Amino acid sequence: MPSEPHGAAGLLMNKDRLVFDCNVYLQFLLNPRGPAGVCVGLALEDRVELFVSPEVLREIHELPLRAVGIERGLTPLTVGQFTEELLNHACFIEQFPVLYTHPIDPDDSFYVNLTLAANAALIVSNDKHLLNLTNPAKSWSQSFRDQYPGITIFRPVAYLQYCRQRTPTRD
Amino acid sequence: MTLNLKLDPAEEHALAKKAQAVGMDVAAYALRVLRCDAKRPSLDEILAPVRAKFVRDGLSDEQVAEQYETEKHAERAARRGRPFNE
Repeated sequence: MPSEPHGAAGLLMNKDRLVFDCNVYLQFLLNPRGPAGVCVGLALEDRVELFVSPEVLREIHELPLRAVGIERGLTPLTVGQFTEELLNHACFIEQFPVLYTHPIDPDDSFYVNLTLAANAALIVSNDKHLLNLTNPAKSWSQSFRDQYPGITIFRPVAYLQYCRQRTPTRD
Repeated sequence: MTLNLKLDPAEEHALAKKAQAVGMDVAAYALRVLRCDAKRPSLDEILAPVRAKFVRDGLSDEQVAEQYETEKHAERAARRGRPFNE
């Protein structure tokens, strides 16, 4: 990977166990130096424990079929090469129970259920429906916060800040 | 070039199983895997044209994410037959 302009942690004490939303993978495919690109880079360098599922892979494989992917020049071949590489580094969980259903966007539920199955505590996403699960201003997600207070949902840039805050100084 | 590689028992077992499946010994199979990998372009090389286009187009990460999310949510809302109610 190239240098880390967004300052990913160099010395994470314990590997975070996390799940990335599909939009994070999309941003990596296009720009490895942006915040999302650096996040995925951490996974490809085995500096975090990333979890994926068939649903996550399906969303990634659909990218070249979407207007956003077509306009950017993504093809099934390039995305397939990426997921092949991703699976060399991520932990694949094929099946897991549906413990949570997202009240606004049920199609996003699998990200939460994968996180629970992986015993992970972090989701990195740009999706407002996922991000708002931990937004106290949203009453519809209060039950999520009550049920799963240990799960944090970050935007990529916020996750990198969180990493930096935990990086030991070398004084 | 000669390499000495250390595999943990689980890795050794998995590799031996794959080698056996194609009738090769472990060392020959490992060499074949390494040669195949060396011939393949890296992920960065594969993605280079897409990334160069992204730079040429002058878009930001945020714009791409917004386009993706808008497209995805419109498709989901259409499938459900109603807009998202937040």
